[in-house]
Amino acid sequence: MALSDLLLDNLRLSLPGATDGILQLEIKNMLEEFCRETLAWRETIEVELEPDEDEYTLTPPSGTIVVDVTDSYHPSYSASSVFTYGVLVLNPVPSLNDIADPLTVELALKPDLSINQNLEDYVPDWMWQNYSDTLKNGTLYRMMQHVAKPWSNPQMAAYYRRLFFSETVLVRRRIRDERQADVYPWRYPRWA
Amino acid sequence: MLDVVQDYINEARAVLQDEVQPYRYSDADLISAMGMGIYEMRRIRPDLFVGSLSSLQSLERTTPASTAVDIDPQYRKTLLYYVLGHVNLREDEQAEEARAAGFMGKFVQQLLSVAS
Repeated sequence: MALSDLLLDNLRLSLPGATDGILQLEIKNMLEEFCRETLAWRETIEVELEPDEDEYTLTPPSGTIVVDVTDSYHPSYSASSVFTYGVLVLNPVPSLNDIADPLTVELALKPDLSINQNLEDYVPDWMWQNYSDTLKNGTLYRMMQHVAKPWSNPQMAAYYRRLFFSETVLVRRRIRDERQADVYPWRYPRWA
Repeated sequence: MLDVVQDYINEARAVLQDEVQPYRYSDADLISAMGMGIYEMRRIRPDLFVGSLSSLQSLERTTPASTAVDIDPQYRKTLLYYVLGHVNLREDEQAEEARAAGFMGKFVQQLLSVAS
């Protein structure tokens, strides 16, 4: 049984009267929201540098949209980067000496909902496995805040919304901390 | 069960006690009521038509009885209640009017709440 089917079954139990069509639609919306809020889905791509060119249009993997550029690496060229409207702007501009190696860029992604595909294919398997409870809470809050439906429940929607957002904050923080732990192996404990 | 137009006609006739020809309610009347019921469902519960919101199924008086009705199984009985209520509206006896109101109320209630 696919993990997305397991989620659907759990939601069917909690939301009597809801049809699979609306459940799947809200799961997709929630996946988009989860990826956007946590920046949990990371992929790296290589960008070929050009001399005196500071703007680069990024091409993310098929079926995804870039939320943000979280990191970049180049063996000889060091630049600050700004990502706006799908374009990566580098400062300073690369010179002729820098173009021998590509710039490795780490992207935070979200699913492209305009593409029609199976529900489980919108995000990688590890995301379904690692965050199954969070994904369930996110869908429950979105469903229960609907107006005038058999499953409408403003109080429980607020409860699941708090749960979902506190979990997304934790996920985002954990990912950031893991990254810092790689760069700075030692740090002060949280209470210090 | 309640997959095609004919299934709804059969179920409606059973409840209306109109199974012997000549019928009191024609097939065309029942199909027309189904068509209006789908429009009402679209108005109250658009989520039932996710994916086909811009191309809603239209049932006319001349629609063949073999036509499949694209409604989630959970809400097929709800549509049947609308058909029963709608055809009962034409009656002018007090008991029938109350029955029509009952079916219509059941239709709306089932769309809006779990316990109905």
